[in-house]
Amino acid sequence: MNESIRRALASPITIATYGVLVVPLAIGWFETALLTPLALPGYLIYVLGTAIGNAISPGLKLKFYWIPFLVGCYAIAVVVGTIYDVLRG
Amino acid sequence: MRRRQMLIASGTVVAATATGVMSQPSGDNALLTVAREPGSATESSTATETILSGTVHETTVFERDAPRDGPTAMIFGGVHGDERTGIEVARDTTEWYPDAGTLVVVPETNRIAVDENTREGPEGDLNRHFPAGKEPVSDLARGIWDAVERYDPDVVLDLHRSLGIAGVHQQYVGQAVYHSSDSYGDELASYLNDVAVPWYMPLHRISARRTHSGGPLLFQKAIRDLDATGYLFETTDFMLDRDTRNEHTRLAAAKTLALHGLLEVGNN
Repeated sequence: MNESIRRALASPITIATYGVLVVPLAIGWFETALLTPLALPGYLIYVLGTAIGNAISPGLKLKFYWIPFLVGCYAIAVVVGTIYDVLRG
Repeated sequence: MRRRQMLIASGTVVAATATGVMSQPSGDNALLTVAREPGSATESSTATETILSGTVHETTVFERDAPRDGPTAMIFGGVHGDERTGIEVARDTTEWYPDAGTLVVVPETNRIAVDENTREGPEGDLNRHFPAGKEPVSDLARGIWDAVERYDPDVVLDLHRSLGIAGVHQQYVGQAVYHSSDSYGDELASYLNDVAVPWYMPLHRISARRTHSGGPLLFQKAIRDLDATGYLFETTDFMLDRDTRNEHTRLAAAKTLALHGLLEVGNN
Protein backbone atom coordinates (compact mmCIF):
# COMPACT_ATOMS: atom_id res chain seq x y z
CA MET A 1 0.00 0.00 0.00
CA ASN A 2 1.18 3.45 -0.82
CA GLU A 3 2.84 4.96 2.26
CA SER A 4 0.85 8.20 2.15
CA ILE A 5 -2.43 6.29 1.94
CA ARG A 6 -1.37 4.02 4.78
CA ARG A 7 -0.52 7.05 6.91
CA ALA A 8 -3.82 8.75 6.10
CA LEU A 9 -5.74 5.63 7.14
CA ALA A 10 -3.83 4.81 10.30
CA SER A 11 -1.62 7.67 11.40
CA PRO A 12 -1.62 8.60 15.09
CA ILE A 13 -3.54 11.78 14.26
CA THR A 14 -6.19 9.79 12.36
CA ILE A 15 -6.60 7.33 15.21
CA ALA A 16 -6.61 10.08 17.84
CA THR A 17 -9.26 12.04 15.94
CA TYR A 18 -11.41 8.95 15.59
CA GLY A 19 -11.05 8.24 19.29
CA VAL A 20 -12.01 11.79 20.26
CA LEU A 21 -15.14 11.65 18.12
CA VAL A 22 -16.32 8.18 19.10
CA VAL A 23 -15.08 7.07 22.52
CA PRO A 24 -16.51 9.82 24.78
CA LEU A 25 -19.88 9.56 23.06
CA ALA A 26 -19.91 5.77 23.28
CA ILE A 27 -19.19 5.96 27.02
CA GLY A 28 -22.02 8.44 27.50
CA TRP A 29 -24.33 6.22 25.47
CA PHE A 30 -24.12 3.52 28.13
CA GLU A 31 -24.66 5.93 31.00
CA THR A 32 -25.72 9.52 30.48
CA ALA A 33 -23.92 10.67 33.65
CA LEU A 34 -20.60 9.63 32.09
CA LEU A 35 -21.04 11.99 29.16
CA THR A 36 -18.51 14.85 29.38
CA PRO A 37 -17.72 17.92 27.29
CA LEU A 38 -15.23 15.72 25.43
CA ALA A 39 -18.21 14.07 23.77
CA LEU A 40 -19.52 17.32 22.30
CA PRO A 41 -17.98 16.94 18.78
CA GLY A 42 -19.21 13.37 18.42
CA TYR A 43 -22.53 14.31 19.99
CA LEU A 44 -23.16 17.06 17.43
CA ILE A 45 -22.19 14.82 14.51
CA TYR A 46 -24.37 11.98 15.77
CA VAL A 47 -27.47 14.00 16.66
CA LEU A 48 -27.38 16.12 13.52
CA GLY A 49 -26.77 12.96 11.50
CA THR A 50 -29.87 11.36 12.98
CA ALA A 51 -31.83 14.55 12.28
CA ILE A 52 -30.88 14.48 8.61
CA GLY A 53 -31.40 10.73 8.36
CA ASN A 54 -34.75 10.95 10.11
CA ALA A 55 -35.91 13.63 7.66
CA ILE A 56 -34.90 11.45 4.70
CA SER A 57 -36.01 8.12 6.10
CA PRO A 58 -38.52 8.57 8.95
CA GLY A 59 -39.09 4.85 9.39
CA LEU A 60 -35.52 3.96 10.34
CA LYS A 61 -34.92 3.59 14.07
CA LEU A 62 -32.52 6.17 15.45
CA LYS A 63 -30.21 3.60 17.05
CA PHE A 64 -29.29 2.31 13.58
CA TYR A 65 -27.47 5.58 12.89
CA TRP A 66 -24.52 4.32 14.91
CA ILE A 67 -23.30 2.51 11.80
CA PRO A 68 -23.09 5.57 9.50
CA PHE A 69 -21.81 7.55 12.48
CA LEU A 70 -18.85 5.20 12.99
CA VAL A 71 -18.08 5.17 9.25
CA GLY A 72 -18.52 8.94 8.93
CA CYS A 73 -16.26 9.65 11.90
CA TYR A 74 -13.56 7.48 10.38
CA ALA A 75 -13.85 9.43 7.12
CA ILE A 76 -13.50 12.69 9.06
CA ALA A 77 -10.51 11.28 10.95
CA VAL A 78 -8.81 10.28 7.69
CA VAL A 79 -9.33 13.79 6.30
CA VAL A 80 -7.86 15.31 9.46
CA GLY A 81 -4.91 12.89 9.33
CA THR A 82 -4.30 13.71 5.67
CA ILE A 83 -4.44 17.46 6.23
CA TYR A 84 -2.04 17.12 9.15
CA ASP A 85 0.38 15.14 7.00
CA VAL A 86 0.19 17.65 4.15
CA LEU A 87 0.74 20.63 6.46
CA ARG A 88 3.62 18.84 8.09
CA GLY A 89 5.19 18.29 4.67
CA MET B 1 8.49 14.03 21.74
CA ARG B 2 6.12 11.11 21.93
CA ARG B 3 6.20 11.28 25.74
CA ARG B 4 5.34 14.96 25.65
CA GLN B 5 2.41 14.29 23.31
CA MET B 6 1.18 11.57 25.65
CA LEU B 7 1.36 13.97 28.57
CA ILE B 8 -0.53 16.66 26.68
CA ALA B 9 -3.20 14.15 25.60
CA SER B 10 -3.56 12.76 29.11
CA GLY B 11 -3.76 16.24 30.59
CA THR B 12 -6.44 17.19 28.08
CA VAL B 13 -8.52 14.13 28.93
CA VAL B 14 -8.19 14.73 32.68
CA ALA B 15 -9.03 18.43 32.33
CA ALA B 16 -12.03 17.75 30.13
CA THR B 17 -13.29 15.04 32.45
CA ALA B 18 -12.89 17.30 35.47
CA THR B 19 -14.67 20.07 33.60
CA GLY B 20 -17.43 17.66 32.73
CA VAL B 21 -17.86 16.51 36.30
CA MET B 22 -17.88 20.09 37.55
CA SER B 23 -20.32 21.22 34.89
CA GLN B 24 -22.84 18.43 35.44
CA PRO B 25 -26.29 19.84 35.95
CA SER B 26 -27.00 20.43 39.60
CA GLY B 27 -30.39 18.77 39.80
CA ASP B 28 -32.69 20.08 42.49
CA ASN B 29 -32.55 17.94 45.60
CA ALA B 30 -34.10 20.71 47.65
CA LEU B 31 -37.28 20.65 45.60
CA LEU B 32 -37.52 16.86 45.56
CA THR B 33 -36.95 16.75 49.31
CA VAL B 34 -39.81 19.19 49.82
CA ALA B 35 -41.99 16.97 47.64
CA ARG B 36 -41.09 13.75 49.46
CA GLU B 37 -41.01 14.84 53.07
CA PRO B 38 -44.23 15.45 54.93
CA GLY B 39 -42.87 18.66 56.47
CA SER B 40 -45.73 20.87 57.52
CA ALA B 41 -48.09 18.53 55.69
CA THR B 42 -48.02 15.85 58.39
CA GLU B 43 -51.74 16.23 58.79
CA SER B 44 -52.38 15.44 55.18
CA SER B 45 -54.92 12.79 54.40
CA THR B 46 -54.59 10.09 51.82
CA ALA B 47 -57.13 8.05 49.99
CA THR B 48 -57.26 5.66 47.10
CA GLU B 49 -60.08 4.99 44.71
CA THR B 50 -60.50 2.27 42.16
CA ILE B 51 -61.98 3.42 38.92
CA LEU B 52 -63.50 1.18 36.25
CA SER B 53 -63.94 -1.40 39.01
CA GLY B 54 -64.79 -4.87 37.87
CA THR B 55 -63.61 -4.21 34.34
CA VAL B 56 -60.40 -5.16 32.58
CA HIS B 57 -59.37 -1.49 32.81
CA GLU B 58 -59.59 -1.31 36.61
CA THR B 59 -56.94 1.04 37.95
CA THR B 60 -56.12 2.96 41.10
CA VAL B 61 -56.32 6.69 41.75
CA PHE B 62 -54.28 8.10 44.64
CA GLU B 63 -55.40 11.29 46.37
CA ARG B 64 -53.49 13.24 48.97
CA ASP B 65 -55.01 16.34 50.56
CA ALA B 66 -52.75 18.91 52.17
CA PRO B 67 -53.88 20.56 55.41
CA ARG B 68 -54.11 23.91 53.65
CA ASP B 69 -56.41 24.83 50.81
CA GLY B 70 -54.98 25.14 47.35
CA PRO B 71 -55.41 23.96 43.80
CA THR B 72 -56.09 20.40 42.75
CA ALA B 73 -53.48 18.87 40.45
CA MET B 74 -53.87 15.58 38.58
CA ILE B 75 -50.86 13.65 37.32
CA PHE B 76 -51.25 10.86 34.79
CA GLY B 77 -48.76 8.13 33.92
CA GLY B 78 -49.22 5.16 31.64
CA VAL B 79 -51.62 6.68 29.16
CA HIS B 80 -49.21 4.89 26.82
CA GLY B 81 -48.27 1.63 28.49
CA ASP B 82 -44.74 1.31 27.10
CA GLU B 83 -43.64 4.74 28.32
CA ARG B 84 -42.23 3.45 31.59
CA THR B 85 -40.73 6.76 32.66
CA GLY B 86 -44.14 8.35 33.14
CA ILE B 87 -45.43 5.30 34.99
CA GLU B 88 -42.45 5.10 37.35
CA VAL B 89 -42.43 8.80 38.13
CA ALA B 90 -46.20 8.89 38.62
CA ARG B 91 -45.81 6.02 41.10
CA ASP B 92 -43.17 8.11 42.89
CA THR B 93 -45.53 11.04 43.13
CA THR B 94 -48.10 8.94 45.00
CA GLU B 95 -45.63 9.22 47.90
CA TRP B 96 -45.31 13.00 47.69
CA TYR B 97 -46.81 15.41 50.18
CA PRO B 98 -48.31 18.64 48.86
CA ASP B 99 -48.09 21.63 51.19
CA ALA B 100 -51.36 23.03 49.89
CA GLY B 101 -54.22 21.75 47.82
CA THR B 102 -54.81 18.24 46.56
CA LEU B 103 -52.59 15.93 44.56
CA VAL B 104 -54.37 13.23 42.56
CA VAL B 105 -52.30 10.65 40.71
CA VAL B 106 -53.25 7.94 38.22
CA PRO B 107 -49.99 6.04 37.65
CA GLU B 108 -51.39 3.33 35.36
CA THR B 109 -54.03 5.11 33.36
CA ASN B 110 -54.20 2.50 30.58
CA ARG B 111 -53.64 -0.51 32.78
CA ILE B 112 -53.88 -3.22 30.12
CA ALA B 113 -51.28 -1.42 28.01
CA VAL B 114 -49.09 -0.96 31.11
CA ASP B 115 -49.34 -4.66 31.96
CA GLU B 116 -48.50 -5.62 28.39
CA ASN B 117 -45.84 -2.93 27.99
CA THR B 118 -47.46 -1.70 24.78
CA ARG B 119 -48.30 1.80 23.63
CA GLU B 120 -51.95 1.03 22.99
CA GLY B 121 -54.50 -1.12 24.74
CA PRO B 122 -57.16 -3.25 23.08
CA GLU B 123 -59.24 -0.15 22.30
CA GLY B 124 -56.39 1.66 20.53
CA ASP B 125 -54.43 4.76 21.46
CA LEU B 126 -56.07 6.16 24.61
CA ASN B 127 -54.54 9.56 23.99
CA ARG B 128 -56.62 9.98 20.85
CA HIS B 129 -59.92 9.16 22.54
CA PHE B 130 -60.93 12.63 23.71
CA PRO B 131 -62.11 14.44 20.56
CA ALA B 132 -63.40 18.00 20.73
CA GLY B 133 -67.15 18.38 20.94
CA LYS B 134 -67.77 14.67 21.56
CA GLU B 135 -67.85 12.25 24.44
CA PRO B 136 -64.71 10.16 24.94
CA VAL B 137 -64.82 7.39 22.38
CA SER B 138 -63.95 4.26 24.40
CA ASP B 139 -65.02 2.65 27.67
CA LEU B 140 -61.59 3.31 29.16
CA ALA B 141 -61.57 6.97 28.09
CA ARG B 142 -65.10 7.50 29.49
CA GLY B 143 -64.09 5.93 32.80
CA ILE B 144 -60.98 8.06 33.07
CA TRP B 145 -62.86 11.19 32.13
CA ASP B 146 -65.59 10.53 34.72
CA ALA B 147 -62.86 10.51 37.38
CA VAL B 148 -61.30 13.69 36.00
CA GLU B 149 -64.65 15.46 36.12
CA ARG B 150 -65.19 14.39 39.74
CA TYR B 151 -61.85 15.82 40.85
CA ASP B 152 -62.25 18.89 38.62
CA PRO B 153 -58.49 19.62 38.58
CA ASP B 154 -57.02 23.09 38.23
CA VAL B 155 -53.81 21.60 36.83
CA VAL B 156 -53.33 18.49 34.70
CA LEU B 157 -49.91 16.98 33.97
CA ASP B 158 -49.60 14.00 31.64
CA LEU B 159 -46.22 12.22 31.60
CA HIS B 160 -44.89 10.67 28.40
CA ARG B 161 -41.71 9.49 26.66
CA SER B 162 -40.74 9.86 23.02
CA LEU B 163 -38.09 8.14 20.89
CA GLY B 164 -36.55 11.36 19.54
CA ILE B 165 -36.36 15.10 20.12
CA ALA B 166 -38.95 17.68 19.06
CA GLY B 167 -37.52 20.09 16.51
CA VAL B 168 -34.59 17.77 15.78
CA HIS B 169 -36.27 14.55 14.68
CA GLN B 170 -39.26 15.47 12.62
CA GLN B 171 -41.82 12.90 13.76
CA TYR B 172 -40.83 12.81 17.42
CA VAL B 173 -41.89 15.01 20.31
CA GLY B 174 -39.37 14.41 23.10
CA GLN B 175 -37.66 16.93 25.37
CA ALA B 176 -40.64 19.25 25.24
CA VAL B 177 -43.31 20.69 27.49
CA TYR B 178 -46.63 21.06 25.70
CA HIS B 179 -48.77 23.48 27.63
CA SER B 180 -51.91 25.58 27.64
CA SER B 181 -51.72 29.32 27.11
CA ASP B 182 -52.35 30.13 30.79
CA SER B 183 -49.52 27.94 32.07
CA TYR B 184 -45.95 28.27 33.28
CA GLY B 185 -44.64 26.29 30.31
CA ASP B 186 -41.77 28.65 29.52
CA GLU B 187 -40.67 28.81 33.16
CA LEU B 188 -40.83 25.03 33.47
CA ALA B 189 -38.71 24.45 30.36
CA SER B 190 -36.19 27.08 31.43
CA TYR B 191 -35.92 25.53 34.90
CA LEU B 192 -35.38 22.03 33.51
CA ASN B 193 -32.67 23.26 31.15
CA ASP B 194 -30.93 24.95 34.08
CA VAL B 195 -30.99 22.04 36.51
CA ALA B 196 -31.20 18.91 34.36
CA VAL B 197 -29.72 19.32 30.87
CA PRO B 198 -25.91 19.60 30.56
CA TRP B 199 -24.63 22.46 28.41
CA TYR B 200 -22.76 19.96 26.25
CA MET B 201 -26.04 18.31 25.20
CA PRO B 202 -27.44 21.43 23.49
CA LEU B 203 -29.81 19.55 21.21
CA HIS B 204 -31.43 17.90 24.24
CA ARG B 205 -32.57 21.24 25.64
CA ILE B 206 -36.24 21.16 26.57
CA SER B 207 -38.55 23.39 24.58
CA ALA B 208 -41.87 24.87 25.64
CA ARG B 209 -44.60 24.46 23.05
CA ARG B 210 -48.05 25.92 23.41
CA THR B 211 -50.82 23.48 22.58
CA HIS B 212 -54.23 24.21 21.16
CA SER B 213 -57.17 22.80 23.06
CA GLY B 214 -58.93 21.35 20.04
CA GLY B 215 -57.10 18.04 19.87
CA PRO B 216 -58.11 14.55 21.04
CA LEU B 217 -55.56 14.26 23.87
CA LEU B 218 -56.58 13.82 27.50
CA PHE B 219 -54.84 16.98 28.69
CA GLN B 220 -56.38 18.96 25.82
CA LYS B 221 -59.87 17.90 26.90
CA ALA B 222 -59.07 19.01 30.45
CA ILE B 223 -58.01 22.40 29.11
CA ARG B 224 -61.06 22.62 26.88
CA ASP B 225 -63.85 21.30 29.10
CA LEU B 226 -62.63 22.05 32.63
CA ASP B 227 -60.64 25.20 31.96
CA ALA B 228 -57.67 23.46 33.58
CA THR B 229 -54.08 24.53 33.08
CA GLY B 230 -52.63 21.68 31.07
CA TYR B 231 -49.15 20.25 30.61
CA LEU B 232 -47.90 17.23 28.72
CA PHE B 233 -44.25 16.46 29.38
CA GLU B 234 -42.26 14.34 26.95
CA THR B 235 -38.75 13.23 27.70
CA THR B 236 -36.81 11.08 25.23
CA ASP B 237 -34.98 7.78 25.33
CA PHE B 238 -32.68 9.04 22.59
CA MET B 239 -29.26 9.10 24.29
CA LEU B 240 -30.77 9.40 27.76
CA ASP B 241 -30.66 6.40 30.08
CA ARG B 242 -33.57 5.41 32.28
CA ASP B 243 -32.33 7.20 35.42
CA THR B 244 -31.83 10.44 33.51
CA ARG B 245 -35.22 10.26 31.82
CA ASN B 246 -36.86 9.62 35.17
CA GLU B 247 -34.99 12.51 36.77
CA HIS B 248 -36.07 14.93 34.02
CA THR B 249 -39.65 13.78 34.42
CA ARG B 250 -39.54 13.82 38.24
CA LEU B 251 -38.22 17.38 38.23
CA ALA B 252 -40.87 18.39 35.69
CA ALA B 253 -43.60 17.03 37.97
CA ALA B 254 -42.20 18.62 41.13
CA LYS B 255 -41.63 21.99 39.50
CA THR B 256 -45.12 22.01 38.02
CA LEU B 257 -46.56 21.44 41.50
CA ALA B 258 -44.30 24.16 42.92
CA LEU B 259 -45.21 26.67 40.22
CA HIS B 260 -48.89 26.14 41.01
CA GLY B 261 -48.45 26.47 44.76
CA LEU B 262 -48.86 22.85 45.84
CA LEU B 263 -45.23 22.67 46.99
CA GLU B 264 -43.58 25.43 48.94
CA VAL B 265 -39.90 26.03 48.33
CA GLY B 266 -37.92 29.16 49.03
CA ASN B 267 -36.85 29.97 45.50
CA ASN B 268 -39.40 28.53 43.15
